[in-house]
Formats: sequence, structure tokens, C-alpha cells
Amino acid sequence: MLLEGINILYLGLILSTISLILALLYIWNLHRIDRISSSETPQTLSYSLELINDAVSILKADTFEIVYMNEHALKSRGLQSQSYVGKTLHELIPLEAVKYFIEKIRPLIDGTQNKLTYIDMQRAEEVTVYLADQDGNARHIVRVAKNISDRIKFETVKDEFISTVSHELRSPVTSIKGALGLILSGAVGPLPEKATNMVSIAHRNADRLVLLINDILDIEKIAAGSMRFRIEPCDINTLLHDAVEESEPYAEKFGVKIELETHNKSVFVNCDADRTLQVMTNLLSNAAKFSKPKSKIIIMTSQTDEMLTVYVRDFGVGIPKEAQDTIFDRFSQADSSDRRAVGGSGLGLSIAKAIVERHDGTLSFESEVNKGTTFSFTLPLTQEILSDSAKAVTNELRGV
Amino acid sequence: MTDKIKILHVEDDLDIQEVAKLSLEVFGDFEVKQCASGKEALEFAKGYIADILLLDVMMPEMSGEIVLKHLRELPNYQETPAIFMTARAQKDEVAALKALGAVDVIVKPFDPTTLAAEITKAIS
Repeated sequence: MLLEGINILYLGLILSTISLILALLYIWNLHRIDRISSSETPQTLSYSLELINDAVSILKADTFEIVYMNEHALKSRGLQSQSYVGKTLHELIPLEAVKYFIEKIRPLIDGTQNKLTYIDMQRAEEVTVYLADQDGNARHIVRVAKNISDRIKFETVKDEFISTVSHELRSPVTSIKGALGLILSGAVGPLPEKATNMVSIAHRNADRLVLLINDILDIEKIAAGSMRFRIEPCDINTLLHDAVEESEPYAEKFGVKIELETHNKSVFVNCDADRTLQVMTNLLSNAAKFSKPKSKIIIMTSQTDEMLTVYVRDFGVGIPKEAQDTIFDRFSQADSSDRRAVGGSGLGLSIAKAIVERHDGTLSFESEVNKGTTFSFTLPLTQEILSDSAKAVTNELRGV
Repeated sequence: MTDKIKILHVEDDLDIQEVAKLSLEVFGDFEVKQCASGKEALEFAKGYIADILLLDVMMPEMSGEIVLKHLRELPNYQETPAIFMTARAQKDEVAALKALGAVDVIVKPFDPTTLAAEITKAIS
């Protein structure tokens, strides 16, 4: 079923590409209209546009008067042939739909862009809108809408598939990890040293598998927009203490210490505590993995009027320049051998970035090879409940 | 006679059953009785009084939530502390399970060396 879905998707993509090329040719023709014989122009173009599998509409940019709608566009709006002649957009489609369209094409109206694409989930369409300017003559808006219901269906099936597989994987992993854990604990008797080493490898990799399953589930939830957030005022210092407590045992494995250099007084930010903790855990585990042994990781914060910034600084190997552009991509690590060498799914930073952005914050980094990396992310401060003491800390940090 | 804490564990995966039983017996002071389905558990519970219910959530035919609902109808199980085990670790799913009256929700895969301690902590 999945393969069928992929085939449909590819077919859809090919048809869509052809359609787009035809549409672009038409727009090009709007610019170069004098190149076509005037007696043939309307019929030739109209005939070509009827062949396109997408809904194509052309309207005047100043009045929104409909100039042309192909068969697909008419059908998709439930209109009769030629029923649009002499009418404006407002006369043909509901006011809400007009408002939605105008809002979407605002950059075209403002003149900041001459082409844009958006997804209209309600109509299951990928809409590309062009502003065609005929060398100083009247400007036209060309709307090309591609039906993406198959793609949406495919995405839904894919999401369900990944979710089911990931959950189903947990059952055998529970048995594997559990059985290996019991053997290593000595619960079933002593093991020879070599066997202990082998079982340790298996146990460690079962842990990696769990991490990978969890991260794949998270990344899919983010992609599908189904990761739920409960954003409420949280004391960042409590949260950072929790993060240190949670990550310390992991950092110790790499001989790395975590130091928290923040004020102890409460400072509130608007966030989902669990997800922010997840961001911190990801950043701290990354920092630990790439730190030099016996070095430390420092956590700091700074504030502006509206935002709080959390810094996680390590003194490790750093991120090479060539890897910096893709460091937030899925399955991206500075060196392809890193994932195997230090563990991790290669999804942690991508997940952390998505979580921070969901809080209207940003996640960025500065890095120097062999000197270390500082990741920093911002969170909005909770303005209304800033206590006097918190305000004092805020002012102190800002040097007021 | 034994004064061990009695656990009724309902889990359809027999391998997980075995791992859980061994870890609860080695790392805790529990007497563990196990059933592979909700139907079997409801039958068994009529002749057995457990101190704790440990219920897998995703089981064919009868989910852990439904098993708990039916067990609560039995006179001896109206207030028995219930703990769910689940592979679905979403916050709202955990909250929904707790709303059914569960004292704890253990996420799979669990650590066999700390499972007993986690259950002891949940009921204390």
C-alpha cells in the first residue's frame, strides 16, 4: 500500500511538473505576447491551458476581475463554463475565501514578491500564484492550484505507518533490553568477562534503538504538526536544575562535568516544561558527546525585556565550517562516523530546533574547531507574573 | 504462607511477562501472577485477591483500560492500586490513563533493575 502511495505521489509530481511548465510558458507568453500571432494567441493559449491538469485562474491585479478560468478551475469552484465573464472574484466565491486568498497573496499585492506558493489544506491544494506584469501594462494574477489530496492521503498513511511501526517496535525492544538488563545485573547468575562485554554491547545498542524510535516518533509528530504543547509560566532555574540532574549521569560517562552559572532566583518563561527539558537534554547530551574528557559544560542565561536566552557551552571538538550549514538537518552530524562513534540518532538538534521555534524562539550556535561550541536558544519571558524579585534579577542582569 | 505483595500482571507479550516476573521477584518482594489477556485476567481475578494490578495497555481484544473497568466491578478489586504499562508515552495519553485512577504509568521499555522500586514507590 505504501509503494502504491509512493507511485501515485511520483505520478502526481510528474504531472504537476508538466502542468507548472505549461503554466510558466503561459506567463512567459504574457510577457512576450507580441511573439505570437495575434489571430492565434487567445485560442492557442486557451486550448493549452485546458490541457493542464491543474486549476488555472487569471485575474486583473487591480480590480480582481476574472479574465480566465480553465475547466479544472471552474469545476473546483462548482461554476459553469464562461460564468465568470465580466465578474470579480468577490462575485464568484464566498467572502471568507476571498479574504483568505488576499491574505495569502499579500506579498504580491505589496509588491515584495512576484511569485509565492502556499498550501490550502481545506481545499487540499498547493497553490502557486504569480504576478504577471506586461511591460508596464495591466498586471495580472495567475493562480495555479494543484490538487494534493493524494499527497495528503499518502502523508497520512505514512504517518500512521511510522507511528504504528515505532510503537510496535517497542514491544520486542522491551523484551531485548529487559532480558539483557537482567543478565547484566547478575539476576540470572554470573557471566564470564568476555560474555559480559558482549552483552554490554547488545544492551547499549538496545538503548540506541529506543532513542532512535523515540526521536523518529518525535520528528514525525513535529512534521505532522501533532506534537502537543502545554505552554505555561515555568521557572527557568528550576527547569535548568532538573536538566542538569537528568543529564549528569550521562555526562559522567564521558568524564564531563556540567556547571550551572545562573541566578538562583525565579525567572519565569512561557514554555512547555517537558519539551524545554527535552531541548536541554538534547543540547547537554550533544555537548557531552563532543567534549574533551575532563572538560566541563557551562550553562548560562541572559535576558532582554521580552526574551530569555539559555547558553550551553562546551569546550569540545567544535563543528567544522563545512558541517555548520546542515547541523540542524535530520540525521546530520559533523562527521558521518560520529553517529556510530558517539551514539545518538542524528535527530536531536532537529527536534530541539523545532521545539524552540514552536515557542517563538530561536536556536543557534557559535563554534570553533578544537575550542568548542555554544548553543543558545531563546524563550519568551512571562511578563505579567514577573515578581519584584524576578524584576530585580532582570534589571541586575541587564545592568540597570 | 507468604506476606509478599501480590501483583496481578496482565500482558499479552509472553517475553515481556517473563522479564517482568523475574525482575519483580529478584529486585522486589513480590508474588507475581500473570495473565495473557483481559478475559483470562477477569476469570483469574474471581479466585485471587491481588494487592496491585499491573496492566499492559495495548492488548488485542481487550485493552488495559477496559480490563481495569471490568476488574473494578469485582468486589475485591474496587480499590486495588492499578499501574499501567504502555509503549505510548505521550503526555496526554499518560494523563488520560492516570485519570482512570491509575497510581502510575510505566513507559515501555522499562528498566528491569528498577521496575520493582518504581512500583513500590507508586503504591507507598
